[in-house]
Amino acid sequence: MSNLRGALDSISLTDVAQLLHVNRKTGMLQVNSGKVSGVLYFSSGEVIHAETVSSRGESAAFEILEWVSGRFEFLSTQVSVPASIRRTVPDLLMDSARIHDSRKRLNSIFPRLAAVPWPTLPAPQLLEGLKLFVEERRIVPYFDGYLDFQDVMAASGQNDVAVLQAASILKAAGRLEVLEPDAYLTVTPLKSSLFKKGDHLELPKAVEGWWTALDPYRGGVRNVRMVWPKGPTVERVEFVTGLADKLVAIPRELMQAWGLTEGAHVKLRPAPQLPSAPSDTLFGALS
Amino acid sequence: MSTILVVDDDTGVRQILREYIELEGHRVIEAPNATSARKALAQETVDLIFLDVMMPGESGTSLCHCIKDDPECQGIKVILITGFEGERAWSQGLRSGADIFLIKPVNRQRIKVLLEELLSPESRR
Repeated sequence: MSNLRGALDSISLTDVAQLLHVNRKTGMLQVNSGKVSGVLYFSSGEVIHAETVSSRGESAAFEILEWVSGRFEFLSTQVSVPASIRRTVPDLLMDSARIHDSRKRLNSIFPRLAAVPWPTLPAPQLLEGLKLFVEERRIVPYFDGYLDFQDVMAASGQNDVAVLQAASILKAAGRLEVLEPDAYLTVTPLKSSLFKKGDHLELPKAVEGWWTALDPYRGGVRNVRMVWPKGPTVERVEFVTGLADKLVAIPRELMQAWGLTEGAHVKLRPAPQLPSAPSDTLFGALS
Repeated sequence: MSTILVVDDDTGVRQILREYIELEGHRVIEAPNATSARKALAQETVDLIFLDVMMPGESGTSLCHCIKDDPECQGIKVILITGFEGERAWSQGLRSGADIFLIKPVNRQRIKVLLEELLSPESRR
């Protein structure tokens, strides 16, 4: 048993966890999904702790148990980690199945994590008469019309199921809309001139028309969050005529600083008012 | 060599499991339902049972409960097999007392690992 190892496409982690439970094993089950890795710590057949790059304890165990591809290896060894999980393997597997079911249901309601939740009522009335757990109530303030579900997860420290569950309660009550404001545009250099400073991005008027038709941005869009492979930034924007619909004009200096070349593809969405701090600080933590 | 009882009303599933199990060098007894399984258990010394949840007549879950409650069957490992997943299936499976709750599909490698681990000397202790 000390050499139990294999590929997850031939045997599932729930099988492996059950086998280690039945055989009352102590040691570390190391799992690599191909993208990320994690460890389940067993003591006398029970999972007592789990770790992934992004989480620890039960949430890490649930994350690992969802992995369906990659490789695993069990190392029979003494474990000296503080116990963070106190339920039995069967209970853990059942809760994992419950989370799996919830995720499936929530993903059918919110198929895209890049969508932006937008409450249609102001804060005092938004939660009136609704049953939300304390954790779910803490998530709701992040639904600001600018952060997408992934951003909300990062900012609130909650997983996808918790965030989508909070959103689904609001949506079922008719108090939440889901927006998809991302514009996929092609980079072109911004031509600065004697009369025009190159300290902002320029977008076509058509994009402004599309965005300001959406509730959160009716008052106008002054800043945009731009995402490209090397990172996100928040910049001031001006909407201009005469720029082709699928283009974003960026000052050459910024293009150079960000490693962007003409013709590169970027994603943009409205951003809230810039703080006085330099760009990148607003969303740096969310990237 | 161990003796494995395969209980499933589907002949095709029984055949596939027989093939995989025999390739690992074990002896297979087949039963198409819970009644036949009880007869086989009364006549043979069985080490491990592959038991389908959904069968006409007595369900695999019910039979599993009885086996696990029977002192004469102590030491027999039970793998309960289902085609359903989700919280309800897991709840039913895990509360049946089965040692392993297996969600289809099965493949040879999966069966091989299960047999190796459940029939290992340390597992029988």
